[in-house]
This record gives sequence, structure tokens and C-alpha cells, in this order.
Amino acid sequence: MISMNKLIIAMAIFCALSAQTAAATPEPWAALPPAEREALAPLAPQWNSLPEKQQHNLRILAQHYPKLKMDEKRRFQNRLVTWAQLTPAQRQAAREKYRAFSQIPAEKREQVKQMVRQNQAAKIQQPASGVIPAAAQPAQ
Amino acid sequence: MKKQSQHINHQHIAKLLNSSTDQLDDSVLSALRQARTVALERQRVAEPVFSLSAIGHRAHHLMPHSTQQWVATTIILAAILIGAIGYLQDTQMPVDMEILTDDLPIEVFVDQHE
Amino acid sequence: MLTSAFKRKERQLATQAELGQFLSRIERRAYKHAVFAMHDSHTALDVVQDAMVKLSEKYGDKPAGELPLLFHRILQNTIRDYCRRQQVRSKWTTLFSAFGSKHAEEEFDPLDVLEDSDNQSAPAIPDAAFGQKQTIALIENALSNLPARQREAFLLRYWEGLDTAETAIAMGCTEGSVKTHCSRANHALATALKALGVELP
Repeated sequence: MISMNKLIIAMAIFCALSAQTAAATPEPWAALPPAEREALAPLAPQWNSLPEKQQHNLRILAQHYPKLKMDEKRRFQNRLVTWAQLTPAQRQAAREKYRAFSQIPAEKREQVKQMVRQNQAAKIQQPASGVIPAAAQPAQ
Repeated sequence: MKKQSQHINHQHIAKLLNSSTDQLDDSVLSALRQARTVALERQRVAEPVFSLSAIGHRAHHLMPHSTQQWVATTIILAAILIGAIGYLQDTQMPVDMEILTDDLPIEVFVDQHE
Repeated sequence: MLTSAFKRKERQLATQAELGQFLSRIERRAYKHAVFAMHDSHTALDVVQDAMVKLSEKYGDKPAGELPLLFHRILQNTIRDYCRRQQVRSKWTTLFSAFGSKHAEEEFDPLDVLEDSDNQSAPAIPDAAFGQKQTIALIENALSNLPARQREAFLLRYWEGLDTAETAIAMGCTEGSVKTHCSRANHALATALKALGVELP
């Protein structure tokens, strides 16, 4: 009975510690698995200076990268640097906006997408406005 | 110069607002009725005592008794909580992935002038 | 066992009748509170249903006398949650200006896409009732233009008839804050109504 209790406590402590340590272990770029380095390639120059938690989140995203389609992979890598350079508050705001947008009826979402595409096409023909952020790409 | 009156006739405004609520559209009224129905279907009922005591007797031997067992239970619960927090953070991941791969540009969702 | 089950059902029925009565008394005013804040009928209806369900699920077993204050608190919190979400949504719609032409020929407005498609103009009303309807419309417009906290305080104090302490509970602030919000609301409304030429007896 006593040894059973000790075993339970030992397991509990182990669970708690492993839950914590799994959360945030910083890895230098060179130590990342090749598949993750491939996904996160645009971030190679600044990887080692990113906070641990952000590295952890990005690595999780990288693990899903192989399953993406070609054009999704391209967008992912195009946007990665912009995304990583946002403040946590900006990222959180973006998530909320995305969720809000997802709740709009499908046909209205599609209308909005249409407009954005049209606008971008128009902007490409008149590049003089100069307000397009560097990471913006033509509709793909 | 006459001081601008800040007096508002609250009673009259209340009367007008009540009048306004009497003039609501039928569609609004029926939607409100429906909302009321939904809410009533989910009304919380006070727990009857008899069922709690029935469970209580059988669950007695499952509760922690010794100090060791209490400590173990607390640590396990703490570990679950830490794991849950980690899980919740990770549930941001699908949204992040969507934003990074959506056919709408990231600037739609990101205000870089904040 | 059977007696207990029967007694439980009896208790529930009594409370359900009271809850039902309370909701049917307050639903129209709740809708007005919501529509002043959300500026949109559909959203306001969602807010009201949300608040009613929360009241019913969490406090449906409370004594009937406690329901009004509980409901007002829940309603205000729900309105605030929806407003926050709506602000987020309207933030990104204004982002479209970054994609739109800088020049005046903006023949489309992204916000139009999201406008309620069954937005109808008000039906014609007979002349006799027009005066009062117009006054009501102007007052309601002025109310919906107030800052949220001022409007909340004003409506809870002067329309719902809550006292300062009750209003403070419903709004989750101090009585001092309630008084400040009310005083500012009074001033703002007085100014607005005067500018609109609305005279009240």
C-alpha cells in the first residue's frame, strides 16, 4: 500500500515535470530536424534570437508543413517572416480577426475574397501607391 | 449667458422607450419568443439531495484519505492543469496555420500599424 | 424515491413558470438595450438569446426576485463581448482601405458586402403618429451614439429603474462610477437632443 502511494507520487512528479519541460526547450537552428528546417527556412537568420515559446509554436507549425499543398507551402513561407516579427498582441489580434471572418456566411466571405483579388490585380497595374507591405503577394 | 440645461426628463424618455418597445416588428417579437423557449429548455434545476447521497456512499473509497494520497492527487491535478494550458496554447495552431496558408493575404488580418 | 422525483419536478415547474414570466416581461427591453449597442437587429437578437440562455443555465434555480439583476449583469457582459468581437470585425474591414484605390473612385465599399441583406427602409406611418415616432427615433439615435458605459448606466438607472447600488452590480463597477457615467450621459443627451431640436415636456 505504501509503495503504491510512492509510485503514484513519483509518476505524478514525472508527469508535471515533463509537461513543463516539453513546453519550451530552445533549440539552435542547427539542431532542428531537417524537415523543420526546410519548413522554417525563411526564419533561419533570426531563429536563434526568437523567444523559446515562439520557437516552440513555430516548430509545431513546421510539423504540419509537409502535409500542405504546393501553393499553401509557398504562402506559408512567404508569410513566415512577417508573422514571426509581429508582437504577440498583433498575432492574437490577427487570430481573432480570422475567427471573426470565418463566422461570416460563406458566400459573403467569397465576395470579400473576390474584391481583394480584384484590388490586388488593379494595384499591380498601378504600383505607384507604395503602401503594399513587402510580404504581400499577388493572388495565388 | 443662460447655463445650458442639463436637465433630462427621465420619466418622459422612459415612457417613449416603452412605447418604442410596443412597436417592435413581428419578426423581432417572434425571434424573442423563440429565444425565450430555447432558454427555458435549458433551465438549471436544483440538484435533488437523494441522488448525491447515493453516489457518495459508493465513491467513498475512491477519495484520497492519507496525506500521501492527497499530495499525489494535487500533483496529478497540477500536471493535468499544466498540460491543459499547453494544449490550449497549441489549439491556436490551427488558426495560425490557416492565417499563414489562406488564399487571403496576411495583411487582411494583420494591422501592422498598431 | 418516487416522492423525491415528484417534488423535484414540482420545484422545477414553479421556477420555470417564474423564469418564463420574467423573460417574457424583459425580452423587449433587453432587445432594445442590445440594439442600441450593436446597431444591428440580428446581432441584438443573438445577444438577447445568449443572455437568456446563460441566465437560465446558470441561475435558473435562483429565487425569482434575484433574476432581474442577474439578467442585467449577464446582458451587459454579453453585449460587451459581442461589441469586442464586432470591433475586431470592423477593424479588419477598414483594412480593406489599404487595398482600395487611394483616389475617389471607390465604387465599392467592403462594408457593403457585410451589410445585412434584408435591410429595409422604415414602413410608411400615418402623419398623426409621425411626430412621436420621430422624437423616439431621435432619442434612440442619441442613446445609441453614447459611449457604451454611459448608455448602460443611463438605461439601467432611468429606464430599468435600478438604484445606484443595483446598477453598479449590473455594470460591475462602483457606485461612484455609476454616478459619473449617468451625469455624463445626461449631459451628452441634453446637448444632443437640444441640437436636434427635440423638446421634452
